[in-house]
Amino acid sequence: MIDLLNYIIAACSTALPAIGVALGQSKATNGALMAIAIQPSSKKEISRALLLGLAVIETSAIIGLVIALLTIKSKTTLLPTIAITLIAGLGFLIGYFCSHPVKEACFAIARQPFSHTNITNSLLLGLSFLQTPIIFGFVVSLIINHQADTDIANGLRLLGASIALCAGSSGAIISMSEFNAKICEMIGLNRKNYKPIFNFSLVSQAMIETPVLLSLVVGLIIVSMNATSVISGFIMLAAGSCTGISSIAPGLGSGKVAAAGAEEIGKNLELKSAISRTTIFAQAFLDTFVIYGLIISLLILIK
Amino acid sequence: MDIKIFDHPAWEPLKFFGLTSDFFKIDYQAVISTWLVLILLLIFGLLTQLFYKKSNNIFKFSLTKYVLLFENMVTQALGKYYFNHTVFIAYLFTFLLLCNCLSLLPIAEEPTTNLNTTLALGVIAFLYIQWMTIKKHGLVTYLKNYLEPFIFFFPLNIIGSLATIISLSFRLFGNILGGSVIAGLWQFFVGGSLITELVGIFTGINFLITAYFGIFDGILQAFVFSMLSLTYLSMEIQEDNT
Repeated sequence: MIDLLNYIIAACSTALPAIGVALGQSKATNGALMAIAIQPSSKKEISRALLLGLAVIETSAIIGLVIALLTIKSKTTLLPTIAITLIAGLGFLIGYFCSHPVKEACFAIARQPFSHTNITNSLLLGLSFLQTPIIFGFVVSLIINHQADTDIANGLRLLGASIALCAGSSGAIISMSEFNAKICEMIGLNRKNYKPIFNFSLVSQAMIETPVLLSLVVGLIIVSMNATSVISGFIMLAAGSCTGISSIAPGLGSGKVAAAGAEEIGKNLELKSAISRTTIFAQAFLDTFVIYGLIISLLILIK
Repeated sequence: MDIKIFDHPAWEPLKFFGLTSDFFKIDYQAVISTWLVLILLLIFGLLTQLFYKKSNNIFKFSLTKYVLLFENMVTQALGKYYFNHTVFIAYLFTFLLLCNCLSLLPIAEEPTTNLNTTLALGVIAFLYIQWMTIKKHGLVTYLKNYLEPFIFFFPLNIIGSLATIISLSFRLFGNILGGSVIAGLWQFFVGGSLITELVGIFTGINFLITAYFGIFDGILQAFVFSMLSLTYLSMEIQEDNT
């Protein structure tokens, strides 16, 4: 019975990313077709951007497949399997939300056919930032898979590490897709926006990535420890959930702030330095809450 | 693979006299790497003097640009040019930049992965901001500000101003520690056998990790730290009639 449950959960780790990726790819293609209908003469550039975007979106499905294969082949107990499946479930979010920037980039190319290289470059940069959580997750799931044949205490510990990473990344993924879509849209409105917005986005993306990075650190620390009893397993689960859950809302808010900042820079280029300073300041305030969660997690862990 | 956050090897100079409390321990790794940064800063300063005596050259030009960057930053944030704030911000940025990028030297480790260094820097920035506020508005107005909007907000205001230390120092610490943990993890994966090490070099992942976490994240976190200190300062001492 337990074996059956194990296999069903392992199957979910390839099914969830597949659903997200399929929805996302259909949405991106829909946008590209509409963009070609608006500007038929630039169909070559639009389809090139679409193909690049689709190839990047595909990554999370492939990683989900690899994770599922590894889980089925090695001997795992129930709790580590759930942990690995949760990480693969990030592929659902990433596959679905990667489609917004691709769609907006296609519309932007339809509006500004001559700056299509700039738009494609910023799209690729944004998508590679968006893919980092699943790559981090892949690394963590490899480690979890390596030590998956354990008792309940260590299973709870591994579940805590995966909750830290998944919950910590989910907010940042959703808002980062909104931010990148806004960047592509603004370059589409005015091609002189490319350079200021590109410089602004480098700093802002790294600020949005902060929750992801901090929750990854907590996850890695938890993975490298050892739980001796069920109680200490629960304690590590609590420590992981603390950083993970406290990262959701700051991740969401940070990207929304950055999207608003990109929009305002696109509209008023001469106020660029003031707007970007205010945006970075607001993002730093939002990241403070993640840091509070991190402090509490570290204090729980070193106890 | 083991990740150490708070326990570093320590040196006890006063153990002979029976003083073995945590207060008398010296974390010698952080001290050595901080002194390395200070020596680099000294060499940088001496080179600057040397090149400034000569006629125009590229080094002089780039240094002038570097200083002008901070002048513009301070002028935009505070509305007016202040010499001492510019020096403070430029010093913070340069010191943190060298600290965060120190792992590019093969022998050294970043002092900012140690919580003591970042907390000390946070306290320095906090005290500087408070001192400048007192100088600007006077002690009475400064103390009165803590009782705004009415007297029961006193503890909340104290916590709010102390939160700047935690926010500044833990952001720097978490980001740099994250970078070094990820680099260590990658080393753990590829190290040990010739084939995986060659794969690490020739796929460019080694270079990518160093470039992102060593250089880009180091510059960015130094910038964010000095920028946030400047913005906290500007919130406290900005003019009313701007």
